[in-house]
Amino acid sequence: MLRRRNVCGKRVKEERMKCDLELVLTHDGRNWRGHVEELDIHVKGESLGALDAALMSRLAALPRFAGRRVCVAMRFDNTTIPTWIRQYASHYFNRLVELDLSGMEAVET
Amino acid sequence: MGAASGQTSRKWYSGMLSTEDWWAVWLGLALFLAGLGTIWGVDIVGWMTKLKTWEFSQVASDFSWSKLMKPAGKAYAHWHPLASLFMTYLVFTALTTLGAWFMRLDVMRFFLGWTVIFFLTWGLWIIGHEAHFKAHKTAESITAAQVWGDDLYCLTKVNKCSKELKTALKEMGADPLNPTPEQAAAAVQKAKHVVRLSWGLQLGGGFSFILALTVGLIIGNFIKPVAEFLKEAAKPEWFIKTAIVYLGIKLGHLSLKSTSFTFELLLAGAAATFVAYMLFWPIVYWLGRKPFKLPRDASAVLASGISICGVSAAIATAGAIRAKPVLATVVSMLIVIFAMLELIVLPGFYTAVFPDQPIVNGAALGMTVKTDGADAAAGAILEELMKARHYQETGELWGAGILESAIVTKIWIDVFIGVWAFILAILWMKYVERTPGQPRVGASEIWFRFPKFVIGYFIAWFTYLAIAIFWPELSKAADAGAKVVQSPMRKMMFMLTFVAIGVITDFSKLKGMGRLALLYAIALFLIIAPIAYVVAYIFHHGMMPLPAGE
Repeated sequence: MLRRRNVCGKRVKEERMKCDLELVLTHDGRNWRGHVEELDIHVKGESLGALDAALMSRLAALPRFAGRRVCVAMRFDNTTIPTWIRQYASHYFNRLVELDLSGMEAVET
Repeated sequence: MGAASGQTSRKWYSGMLSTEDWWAVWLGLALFLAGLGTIWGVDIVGWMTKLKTWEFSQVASDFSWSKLMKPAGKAYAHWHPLASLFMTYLVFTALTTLGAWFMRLDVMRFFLGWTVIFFLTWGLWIIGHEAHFKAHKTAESITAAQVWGDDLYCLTKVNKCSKELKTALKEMGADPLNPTPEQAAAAVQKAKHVVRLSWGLQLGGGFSFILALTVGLIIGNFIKPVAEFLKEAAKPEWFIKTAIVYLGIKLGHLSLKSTSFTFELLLAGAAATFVAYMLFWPIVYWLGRKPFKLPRDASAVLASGISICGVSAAIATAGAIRAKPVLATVVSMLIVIFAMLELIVLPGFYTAVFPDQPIVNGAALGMTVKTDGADAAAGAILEELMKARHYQETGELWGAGILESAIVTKIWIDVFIGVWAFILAILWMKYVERTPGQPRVGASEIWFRFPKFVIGYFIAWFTYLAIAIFWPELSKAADAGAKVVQSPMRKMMFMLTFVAIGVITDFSKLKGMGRLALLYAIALFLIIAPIAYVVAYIFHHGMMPLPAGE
């Protein structure tokens, strides 16, 4: 079902950078941490799955998103990587995640 | 978005002004293009300082800066050598500090650290040019020692010294091919660049490289407060990638002189890299999983780091499989420290054990040494050591090819990191972590991971090649500027790399790495290095460097 109603899909092809929300991703050594500046939401989780679940709970509580499918562009903040390593590789990863707030399911697209 | 978002990769052009990879392109191309000014009769780069080989007693008895260095371009010949050095400092300081500002480094710390590294590098480089360390014996001392004596050393290129001696003999009316010992002695007195020395290491540029590395390592391991102070400016990857862009000019030059050699080098490098990929990764991953019982993600990150391209590959793999960043950090530390060990051990080892396989040795380094900086540095030392040894044994001087084979192989590896990370992520999702919601990787990741400095390298290479093919009448004029960029500028960036790579290497970080370090050492020295050598031999044996002067 997710494949058929992929809310990120077409946009990914046309203009990959536009999603409903943008989240900056970091890691504190124990937890993944996410910050959606637009909504001033901070979430964390030991795994990325846990982080997605935490984000879904927070978004589901907002009338603007309740019951919707939401595309979130998660961009890793490269300053999380020590400065001396960044000269070797300045990019870690980005992820586009589709959150189904009615079924509370998250899929990385 | 907040400040942090500026450090995320959002669009295809993300990082063009904020990453060292891109700044290697800008720094490289800025001076490469400036070098092309000689086509229009304007020498914009001739102020660059070029060092001379000097002999201690001659300089001590009558000191003059002009005995140590001079401006590289004829148009600047009237400049005082120190003015040339100051201009070199000014231009490179302005460009690198601008880069540091865009990269959001601490600009003041960078400026101070850079200044110390710059002058330390030049000081060491000048010492490395002392004749007892650097100068080669003249061909006459090798092939006709009974006439000339075996203590004749050359303060410039050896063929130039031979020419000076022959000219002196002709002027005396002696037979240049068959002089008497007395005539030979008189010719030596007349020749400007020939000296008699009681001893000489004959290491060519290799001594400067080894000295710079040694001093860098002493600072990095024994004078840690100074290392900490210099760290902001000690950027070996930035320096070496810039040098590799300049090296593109040399490859352009090489392509013209020997098209078949260059393309054989490229094809053999690509094939060898592909074969190495196929062998290294599965073996090291299996070793990590079975005998060492490491988790899947740690085995995958380590296998990529050790078998593909060091830190870049470890981070690419960790990102692709969404590992915690701390895993990539730990593996990166191991890679950097072991790359330094490889840099210290392998060039001397290959020179001693395989003295008749120069190109194989270079390619084997390219597949074995796991950071660009350490690989290029190792290639440079290998080239100097092998050329010196071959010359001492045969009197024949090798030209380009050894360093190029180390770098070309490494560049192929770099270019395909993104592709490898992409494939690995797909395989990981399909066969290893088969649960819903697991990571996927967009093809854009290939671009984000593509080593951008390679763009600069190819632009420099093809531009030079195009000038020579389509506008051959401009070649000579273009050569004047290109020579300055590809020789003294490139070598300075190499020297800066040697000092910087030593400064950031702290061997004490190996403490507490336990199983990972042991696995790394076993895999590197018992698996990667031998397989790399065999693969390099299969694809490169029979290839020899071009003769000097060609």
